[in-house]
Amino acid sequence: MEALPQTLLFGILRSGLYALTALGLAISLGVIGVVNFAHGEFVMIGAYIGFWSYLLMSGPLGLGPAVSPLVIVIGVPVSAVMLYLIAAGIFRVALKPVLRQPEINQMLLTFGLSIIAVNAMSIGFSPQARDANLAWRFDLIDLGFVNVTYSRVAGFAVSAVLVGATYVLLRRTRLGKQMRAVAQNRLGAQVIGIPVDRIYEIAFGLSAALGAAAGVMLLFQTQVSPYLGLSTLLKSFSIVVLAGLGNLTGVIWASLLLGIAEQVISQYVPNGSALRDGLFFVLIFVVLLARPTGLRR
Amino acid sequence: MRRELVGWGVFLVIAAALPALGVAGDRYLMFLANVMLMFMTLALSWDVVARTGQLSLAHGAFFGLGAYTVGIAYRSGHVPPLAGLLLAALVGGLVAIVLGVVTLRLRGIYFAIATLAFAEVLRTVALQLPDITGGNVGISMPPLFDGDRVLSYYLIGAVFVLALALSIWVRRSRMQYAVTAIRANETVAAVVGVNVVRTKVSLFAASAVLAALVGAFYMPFITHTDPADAFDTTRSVAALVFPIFGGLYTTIGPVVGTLLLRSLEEYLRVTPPWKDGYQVVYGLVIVVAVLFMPRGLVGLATERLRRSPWRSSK
Amino acid sequence: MRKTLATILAASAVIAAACGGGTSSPAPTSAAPTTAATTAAPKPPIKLGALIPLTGPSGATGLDMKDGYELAKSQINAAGGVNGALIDVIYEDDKNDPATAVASFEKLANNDKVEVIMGGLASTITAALIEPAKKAGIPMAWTGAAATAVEKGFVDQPFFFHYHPWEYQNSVSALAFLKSTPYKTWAVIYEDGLFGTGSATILKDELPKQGQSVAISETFKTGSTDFTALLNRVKASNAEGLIVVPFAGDVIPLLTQMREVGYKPKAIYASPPSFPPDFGKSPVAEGLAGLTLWTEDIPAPASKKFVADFKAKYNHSPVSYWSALAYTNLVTAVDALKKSGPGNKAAWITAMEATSYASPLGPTLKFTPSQFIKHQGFTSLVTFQWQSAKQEIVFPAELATAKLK
Repeated sequence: MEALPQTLLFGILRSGLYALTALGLAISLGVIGVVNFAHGEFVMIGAYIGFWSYLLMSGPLGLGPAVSPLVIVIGVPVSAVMLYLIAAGIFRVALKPVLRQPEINQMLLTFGLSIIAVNAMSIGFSPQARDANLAWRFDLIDLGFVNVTYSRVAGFAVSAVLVGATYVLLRRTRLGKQMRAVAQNRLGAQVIGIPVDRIYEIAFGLSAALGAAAGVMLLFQTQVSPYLGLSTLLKSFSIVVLAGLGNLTGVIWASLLLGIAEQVISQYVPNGSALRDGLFFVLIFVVLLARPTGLRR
Repeated sequence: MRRELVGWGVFLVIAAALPALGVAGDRYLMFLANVMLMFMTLALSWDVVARTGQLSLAHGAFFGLGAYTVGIAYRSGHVPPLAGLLLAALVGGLVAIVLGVVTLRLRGIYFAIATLAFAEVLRTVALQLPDITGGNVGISMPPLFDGDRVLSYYLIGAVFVLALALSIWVRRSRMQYAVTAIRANETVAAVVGVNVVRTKVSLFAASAVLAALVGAFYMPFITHTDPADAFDTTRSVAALVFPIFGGLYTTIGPVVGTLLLRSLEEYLRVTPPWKDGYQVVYGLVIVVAVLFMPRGLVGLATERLRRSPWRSSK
Repeated sequence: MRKTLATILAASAVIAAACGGGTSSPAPTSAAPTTAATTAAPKPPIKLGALIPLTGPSGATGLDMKDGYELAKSQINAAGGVNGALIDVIYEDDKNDPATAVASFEKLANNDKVEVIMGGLASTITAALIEPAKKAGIPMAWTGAAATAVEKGFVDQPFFFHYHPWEYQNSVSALAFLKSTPYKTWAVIYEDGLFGTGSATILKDELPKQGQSVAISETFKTGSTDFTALLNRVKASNAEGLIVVPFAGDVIPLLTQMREVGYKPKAIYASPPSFPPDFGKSPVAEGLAGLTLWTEDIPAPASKKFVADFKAKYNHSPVSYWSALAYTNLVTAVDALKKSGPGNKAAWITAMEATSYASPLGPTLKFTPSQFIKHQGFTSLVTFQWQSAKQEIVFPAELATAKLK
């Protein structure tokens, strides 16, 4: 049991990026009602933008050890803004025309977008997976009972800030209230004068921006490749489903559950590192059977 | 009713005559024709479940279950492929009844994720039981009919006919009312006397039997599979892309959707200058299809016919 | 009426698709450049097929191979091709999917009527090609697929020439190196796919036979970003050395997380199929040892020339040894074609059997029988160590460019 504090700590730190990625998906599902199969590709393209900022800063600009914090301070906002614009454009061209179509058609549309994005990136920038040699991936913080890379802590901190900011936006601002109104009753919101399509566009852009921020932070943990999106998508869907559709607070609890469960299974179940994903899906299965609409609500 | 059956009769006669039309000698085209029928069957069987309003991502899992049933039966008892096929249908059906009873009360994306989880669990099980399943080395089998692709074409053709019959029967029998009512509103359906659970579970099981049969065919047809290949989620996704493209809740939609999309993908894949970017084009076709033909090819076709000046006869 | 009409339309589409496919598939794929010095009437190009993954996560390695093929092709054609006829390589994407691979194989063999089918990466894909290959009997100059099960499938087939060492040959090379180290107890962790399991199983069986022991053995799923729990258990086993069989993407997370849990084995032996680009520049690379078929820095003259030509054509170094292997693959297959002439399978096989090629990979390539097949090319690998961002060969001694640190 001596590994328990470390197991819990790493599980909690891990849940940060899970929450950030899943929150974007939950917003597009909760506010617009679109199951976005291309959300993983927002994460992937966001990661690439972060990777290029890393290449620029460490190569031609020669910023040396300052690159790691700069990728966060500059790379995250730049990537988020660019993905916001891309997503808003996609919304106008492709998504808005199909909003009144059956849910399943919207899913197929986002699925098509995902295929285009993955393969266009693969052709444009090669399918080769790349690592960012960021100093923070390797430098350690000594916590006494365990060492932790700066990456882990940064990933959690950035996620916590952004997830927190999103909650403030949704709870405290006029825009957020409009979003929640649209989410609850599209027609009613329209009647009282809320520009519904505009709110949808902002929500979709916001969901992509959150995904992009998560993508940049993934550079600190793993390789970036055109196929990065698929692996993040599956986990995000699981979290959103566990949370209960449209339940944004539930996303935090579900992410914590996933992060800690993964860590505990790996640590205490024999051969757990290989069984982890399978066991997690058993968990989803059980939760869904017990609570057919997710953990909360 | 009769016209539709005549239409499908003509279709089947032409499809059955395909090998005689000079295709038999072309092993490449015969292979594609076999694969085409596999995907048409998957698409038809997926559509039958979709008619009850359920979005299944379990068809890849039942496919894998069928493949592994045949593979394991051969590996441990030298059960011949045809007997294995029957066994796979049985296993697929029984597992589907159990899975259906516990999951079919989930709706929409909840059901989709639960079925996806089921596939992932099966994959992990197949990996972790190497003594039975061969683990990640997978299972090899001698080729079906000694690699004769004309004979295998008729075998998978027979499975396709079963799927076709199921799809037509559900639409043309009293089942259609139950299914439509369930899709519109389960509670109301139950109130007006539809046995919701029995209808959903039996269609889910029938559909799973077909998917398992396709997997059972795949195993000796391809001769080798492993957990990653057998339980590949892209097959579940393909099973839903083709019917949506063709037209949901119909029989002709899944068939034509598969035919066109699969042919297009293969054509782009092997033909320069598309070769390098064929998947991008494929994705674009899907997006454009959703944007401009929301009810699939069938919807587009019926709309055209409705507008046509010759339509006064009906 | 509507339904009948639509159904008949659909049926005719089947025929149309079938016929269309039939006529369009053998389309010529390149306008043959007539820069060669021959003045005779241009001969039709000689076609070879390359069946490799070009899309999906394995696509990166497939594209490395394509670079190697294209380099070899341009050199061969510049030198006059095969007896005056230019060569043309038809690339087919296997998508890392067995059904796609079989379709492509049949197309290359029966419709394009290529002389030789080259390529091959994943064992699972190749396993599905065994039966179609036996039926077609077409010459195969095959690069990848190291699983013993694949070798068994091609037992005694005269048309099958295999370049990459089999997994047990990989292990023999690894075991020889491990035996030369002073460490007695080892921990083995490996990805739970065919690649990791195949290599690690043999090591686990054979290490005890040479007086070394396996203290712990664990598997992980490739792409999982957290290995700390696994590493904690490995650390607790107190093994002196660590053997890892990962994929490229797992290497850096594994090594950094070893630092997080404070695990410092005396030696780390990691054998991914390729290392991430720029891996040498990362602070965790130093001292890591591994198994490879080839590195950019080996001193063989053929290798130096290959690297120089490659850089001249592509402006970057070869990313993995697969470029060099593919280059060797095409050059030797065409050399045999020059002797046999096109359309003569038996003569091509005889010519291939006589191959003796000073390959860029280092050893001279000859085909000899291995455990099950008649024509095995390379049989051993070298152990290298990352030293100052370079892959220095440290074992076997006669090929070493540096000492193990």
